[in-house]
Amino acid sequence: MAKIIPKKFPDDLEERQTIGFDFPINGNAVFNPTFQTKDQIKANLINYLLTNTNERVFNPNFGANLRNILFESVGDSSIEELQDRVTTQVNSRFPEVQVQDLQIDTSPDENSIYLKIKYIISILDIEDDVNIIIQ
Amino acid sequence: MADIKRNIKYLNKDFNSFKKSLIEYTKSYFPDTFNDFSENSTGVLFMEMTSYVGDVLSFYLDNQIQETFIQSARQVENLYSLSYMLGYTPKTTSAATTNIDFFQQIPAKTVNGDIVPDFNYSLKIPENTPISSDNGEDTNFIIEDPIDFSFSSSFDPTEITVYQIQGDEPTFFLLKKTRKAISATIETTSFNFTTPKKFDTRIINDNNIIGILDVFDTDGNEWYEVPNLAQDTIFDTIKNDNVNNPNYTDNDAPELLKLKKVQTRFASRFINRTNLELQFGAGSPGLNTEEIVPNPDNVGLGLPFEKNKLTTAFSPVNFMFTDTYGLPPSDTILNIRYLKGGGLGSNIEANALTIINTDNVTFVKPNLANTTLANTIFNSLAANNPEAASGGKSGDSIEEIRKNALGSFQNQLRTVTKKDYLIRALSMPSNLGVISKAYTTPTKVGDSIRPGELPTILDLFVLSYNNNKNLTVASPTIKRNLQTYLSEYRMINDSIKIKDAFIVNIGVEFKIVVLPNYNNNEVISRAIDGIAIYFNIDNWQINEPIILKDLFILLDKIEGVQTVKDVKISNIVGENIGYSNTAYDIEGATIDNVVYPSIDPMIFEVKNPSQDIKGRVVPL
Repeated sequence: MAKIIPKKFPDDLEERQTIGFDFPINGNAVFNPTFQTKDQIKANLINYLLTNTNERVFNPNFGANLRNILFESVGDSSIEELQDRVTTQVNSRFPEVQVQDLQIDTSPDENSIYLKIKYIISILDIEDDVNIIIQ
Repeated sequence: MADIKRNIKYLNKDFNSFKKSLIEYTKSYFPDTFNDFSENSTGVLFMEMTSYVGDVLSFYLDNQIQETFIQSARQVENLYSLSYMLGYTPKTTSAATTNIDFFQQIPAKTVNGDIVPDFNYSLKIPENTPISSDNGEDTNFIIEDPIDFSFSSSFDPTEITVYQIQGDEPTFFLLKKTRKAISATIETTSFNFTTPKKFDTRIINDNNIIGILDVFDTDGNEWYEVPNLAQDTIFDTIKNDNVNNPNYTDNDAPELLKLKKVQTRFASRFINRTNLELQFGAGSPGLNTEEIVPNPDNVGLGLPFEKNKLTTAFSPVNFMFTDTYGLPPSDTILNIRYLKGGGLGSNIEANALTIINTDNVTFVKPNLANTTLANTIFNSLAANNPEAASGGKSGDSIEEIRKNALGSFQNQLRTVTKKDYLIRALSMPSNLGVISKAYTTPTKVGDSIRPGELPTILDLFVLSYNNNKNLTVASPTIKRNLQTYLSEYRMINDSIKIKDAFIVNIGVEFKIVVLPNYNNNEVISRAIDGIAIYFNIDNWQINEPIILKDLFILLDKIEGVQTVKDVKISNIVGENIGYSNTAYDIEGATIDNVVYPSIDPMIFEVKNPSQDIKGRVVPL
């Protein structure tokens, strides 16, 4: 009888092999290792979304530049525009990721924006999400 | 524990190579610890930051090495320090010089039946008197030597002509004297000193500082400038007269040169183009200034053993090895007078310097009885410069400092080789005028050299700049200054003839094919600019050939140029059209695309780039 072998990255097959480290950097150890590609993709997504353009040395275009949104007037059209922008950026930066849903909640009184991105890692067929607070 | 030998690459210098090596290193030695080398990874972020630090440190290391050597240093402050280390004093400006004629009327008087000038009415003009121009230009000149119209000698003659006659008898004479003047103004500043401090320094901040004129403290003691504080003797000049010289018989030498040991001394050095630092010594105040004559007792004073004299290097200006370095000023105010000025704008035209500052002008004999006549005589004082001032230019460029410093180090204050003379001529102190171009060659063997005799006579060909920075022959004043200046350094059996080099004015005509979609006029304009930069007179030396291939390559590199069809050099001659009178057969001198100079030293000059460089666009 045929058996469906789940899709996996080769690095994920080795239990003791770390991929990278988690982000943000916190917890007991300074660098918490990640052992699964999906965890590393999530960490990389957070790293990308929290980076502003011109922050990375010798790579000024890196970053989603979300912090600047805090200083813009927010309306329905601008939220739609922002959703399109972030989706395009993530899809182009992370070819293995497909954004399924992007929710943006603004709290003008708290000077903050909440982003919830639902995505699929297409090769692995794994669904995951990431929550970002910009304030 | 076993030694871990890891392959570390030491040749990385920039961000990308550091990052690449770090990734390779991680892949090689930490395959189980880190595997995400994508741009989005936080680990790569840290590697990039490390690479950034490595790049910055590499830059500083390279920069330090670059600035350590004069051949590669680019920061002006460092070049100044390095050039002082090699014995060359950089110039922040160069003063123009000229001769100024001074005139005054003087009444006639009768002595034993002869009508002679009444020298009681002659005027005295002190040294450093300012003369300014009447054409509104903000350029001042000062005379270095005083004028006494009542004194006349072979080296300082007073020309006397009849100015006015009544009947057949002269009533007024006109006296004329000539003095050398430099474009400078005297500025003053003062510094307060309290507690003595070893090697104290003060900085004069100003533009276009030519040099220190004099320094006096509040007690009237003069502080002398020396090249470095270890030098405790200076050359002192005094008037050659009966009082100073018991053997005085004639007036062929106006001044006597003597050595003087001075404790009140300072050394000055430019920190950069606008800051001149004065440094004082560290000795005790009991030391005295005295005149000294070199003798076996004081030559080598300070050396530990007599036998050290055998192997010690001596300088005629510093033959005592004391370690006081002069006195530090204390509880006094030093009043400093310095000269500033110069620049290309100081090459003022002829007949412009006519306004004398008469504040310190006095009569030789005070309290003249006829005050009306005295006023008339005083007001008759006039000045004029019959020839244009020349030699003024801006300070040394970076390349000039580099070249002059290396030359200065090599010749060690003695002129031995041809290049020594070139550098010595170019490094003449700016208050004596500036030689812009110089070339030395042994005199051609001819009648002046007998068979078997070595050609020890050198020809030094020189040129100067006018106020438009075009080449011109150096004025007699500059040549005389150069002659005197070189006499201090030349070897005893060298004789030098200072001559004018020939200026050959040229024009450049070129034909180019312009690429499609380019504006012809813009490309031609860029090409003309490129050739003008190539022929910038700062970059040309006497007897330098024109290599036409270089011009072809230069034009080929201009944006929009497809092909260079032709480049032609032509000679532009004629004083009546504002060019040199020297005609040159360019065609005859062109061999294998090189325009060679003549045997007689000459220099090519594009005098008016906007007119003399012409370009044409032709079809392919």
